[in-house]
Amino acid sequence: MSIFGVSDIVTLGTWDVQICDELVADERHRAWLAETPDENRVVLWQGTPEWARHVEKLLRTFRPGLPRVLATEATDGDEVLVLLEGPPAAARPFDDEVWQSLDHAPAVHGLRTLTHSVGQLHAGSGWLHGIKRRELLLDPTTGALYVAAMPRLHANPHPSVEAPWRDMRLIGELAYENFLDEQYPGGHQMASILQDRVAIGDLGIVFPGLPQLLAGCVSPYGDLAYASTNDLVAGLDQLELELARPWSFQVGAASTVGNYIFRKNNQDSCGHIAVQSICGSRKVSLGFFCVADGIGGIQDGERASRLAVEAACEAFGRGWAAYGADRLIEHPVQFARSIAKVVGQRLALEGEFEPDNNRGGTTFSGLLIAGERAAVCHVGDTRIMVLRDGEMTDLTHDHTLASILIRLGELTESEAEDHELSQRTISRFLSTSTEVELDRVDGFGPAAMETFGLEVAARGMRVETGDVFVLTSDGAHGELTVARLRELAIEHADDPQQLCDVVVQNALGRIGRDNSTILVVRVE
Amino acid sequence: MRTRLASVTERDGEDLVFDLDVLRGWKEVHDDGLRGEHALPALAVLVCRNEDRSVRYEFRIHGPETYVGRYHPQNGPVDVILAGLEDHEVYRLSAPHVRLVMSERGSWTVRPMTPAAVTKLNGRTLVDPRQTESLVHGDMLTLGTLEFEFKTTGVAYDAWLGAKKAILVNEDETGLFLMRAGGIAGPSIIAPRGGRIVLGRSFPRRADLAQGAWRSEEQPDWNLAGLWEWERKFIGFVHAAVTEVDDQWYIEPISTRQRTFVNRLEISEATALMPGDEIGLGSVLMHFHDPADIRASTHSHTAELPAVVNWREEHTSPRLEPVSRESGEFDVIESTTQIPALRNDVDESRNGSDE
Repeated sequence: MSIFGVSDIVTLGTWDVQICDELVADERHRAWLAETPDENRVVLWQGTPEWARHVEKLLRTFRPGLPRVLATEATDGDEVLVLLEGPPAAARPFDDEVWQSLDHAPAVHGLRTLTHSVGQLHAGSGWLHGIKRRELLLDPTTGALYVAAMPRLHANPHPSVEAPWRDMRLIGELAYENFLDEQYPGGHQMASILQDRVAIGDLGIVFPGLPQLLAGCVSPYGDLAYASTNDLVAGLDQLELELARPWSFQVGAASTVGNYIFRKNNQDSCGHIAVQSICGSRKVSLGFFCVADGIGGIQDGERASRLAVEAACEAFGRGWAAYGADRLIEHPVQFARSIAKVVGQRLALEGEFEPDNNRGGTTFSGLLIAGERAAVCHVGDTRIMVLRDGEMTDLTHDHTLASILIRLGELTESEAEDHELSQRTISRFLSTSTEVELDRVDGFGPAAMETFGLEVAARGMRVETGDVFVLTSDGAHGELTVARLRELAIEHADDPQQLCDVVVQNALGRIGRDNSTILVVRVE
Repeated sequence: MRTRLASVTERDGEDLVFDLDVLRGWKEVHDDGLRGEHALPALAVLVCRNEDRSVRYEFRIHGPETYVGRYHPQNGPVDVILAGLEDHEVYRLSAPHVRLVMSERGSWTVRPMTPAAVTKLNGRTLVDPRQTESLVHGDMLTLGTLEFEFKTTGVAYDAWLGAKKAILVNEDETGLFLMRAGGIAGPSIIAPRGGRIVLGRSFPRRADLAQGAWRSEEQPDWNLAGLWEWERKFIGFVHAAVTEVDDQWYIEPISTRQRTFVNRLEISEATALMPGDEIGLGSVLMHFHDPADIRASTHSHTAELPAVVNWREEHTSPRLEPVSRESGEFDVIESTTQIPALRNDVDESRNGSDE
């Protein structure tokens, strides 16, 4: 048997690989982690010709999460070397301590992916005859697990009843160790504990879904035993659902007419609607938040912005009821923009049928948070920003004359800041006389794409715990520099209402000429 | 002449994931036929390209006498509306921008409509709105910030006129034909003698919405909700009616928010119609057909606008001039002057001003 040491160069057909680590070393099989000259991770296995035939048969084609055979070569001593495409370089040999300290969510996710990979082998009648920890690699940041050595791999179209269980039992053990932060007590011990409710409680195996999972993995026999990896995947899915925590939205809002003597009413409106559901342990939080700055005569602007906020919340409710949370989560951007579109039509209806009371229009900026995803819809110069990791990012791009002149090259960004007329002349809004086309309702602006990636345009941005979304009318953000708003947002990130109050107070302190409105959502 | 009613969701170049009917809480009825192929052949095409030569915008011209540009309610309908442009590109367009005319012999001319907007022919600036310039296949025509290649399609004037006649002479009832890009597009509706047809677009019944002060009115006879979004945005829900009284046809404006035009001039009361007249509902043109005078219908010409069109919201530099509150195709409205005290006055004067 050839024995390679760390740093040895092994040549296999056209491949030259350098050994990095040894994973398995027993009498008949060995496995090493190695690297190609261009630093791709590979694994090198050595074993009997019969085993190698099985490896070739089962791992010839690519299957996610499983190694793929690159080359084989017989050695002088009646053994065969097999070179396989390895797992990502971030994966390290499995370590109990690292595993136990890993968060539950990535750990469960890693176990689920591993189970799925093993299930693919089973589907091709391949069996591992048990997985040992030293045969595993673990990515300590993501929790991803890979089988990097398969010394007992064999193909058998007629496996024994224990065969699936043998390959699944380790998953139960690892789940136990991650949740209870201690070594698995062994199968017999586990089986007797699971039969005793008091013992389950004493040991602390009380996390919902966990006892069920352990019972499924502990023995190949009995009603509770998992018959296949599909059962185990379902058990892990349940565990994942139990772990998921829905967002809760902390919302603050403030709006003021301002203290400018000529400005006698408040034409701004803002509002939100949120729903939370738990179905089959699946928890989902959804919310729509919006701010609208009315345009028009004294009454008309106020009416338009109020109607926009109300119609948007109504449309959100209708969409949620008709399509369900999953569909909204799948297409947050389209949903948000569709809301703005029907709001625009709603205003046009009022304008036509009650023209005397509806001569205005309104800007409209809406934020949809659907599960893990957020999206915006936007028409006008109200704004949506997000504070994350101390950075404030504009999610919307103003529809103002200033933006147009900048685009035409007639103003620079810095000139535009002092160019009040073009800042305050808006180029799009929801009007009571004409209905804005859907393709003129914007989603994320360029700054958002720069910060969160181009894919936000289609799929929305991923929401993170602690995100603070800030929705403002121009009377609020116009009286503050971006830097000052960011400072205030960081200072009051934990208290959305306080942040709103401070921003509005700031606007009042400057004899702001406009109504001032702010709505803040903190995601927790 | 009949309209086919079919229910579809809006789709202007993008697939809708969510049925807007669900979100709005009422069913908007669409006539799918309003977005069909043009009934007449294109005579020319304006093509604007990206740097890599791929087509950025393409506008087909289906008539020998057209106004091209953007639509502004004050200035009346435009035949070839340059829709779907970016905001800054629209901002430098006039409403209308140029007039393109094809002679019976097939030669083309271009006339700039206003010196305030940039029009160039092969790089040479055209300033005099009274002056027409000859235009040939392959010429480069600059409209505002965009440069278009002018391409003729090879379709002769007579062939085009023949196709137009073929549609009209077979129609022995009075009615309206939808026009697009300077020619009869296909869809039409009959106006019954002694009766009244209402033109508009699908709207909810009062019971469909929780709020809404309007009284429940009859749905329009010709539902134009199925037009492209940039066309229908200036169509009122109950826009206008066509009637016949004592052998005379009239168009009567109903909507107080959307404008109605006859031969490009705005009307405010019931106005008599002659065969071949052009009715404008917002930006959308209709051809009035009456078999009583078939030649007037088949040989109609588009009405000519005054030579110079005062087209911009702000007449000169946007830096100092006060901005009016015009909405329009281009929704520049919210504004103030630079004198703070006027802000409130501006708000007041904004009433009813978004048209």
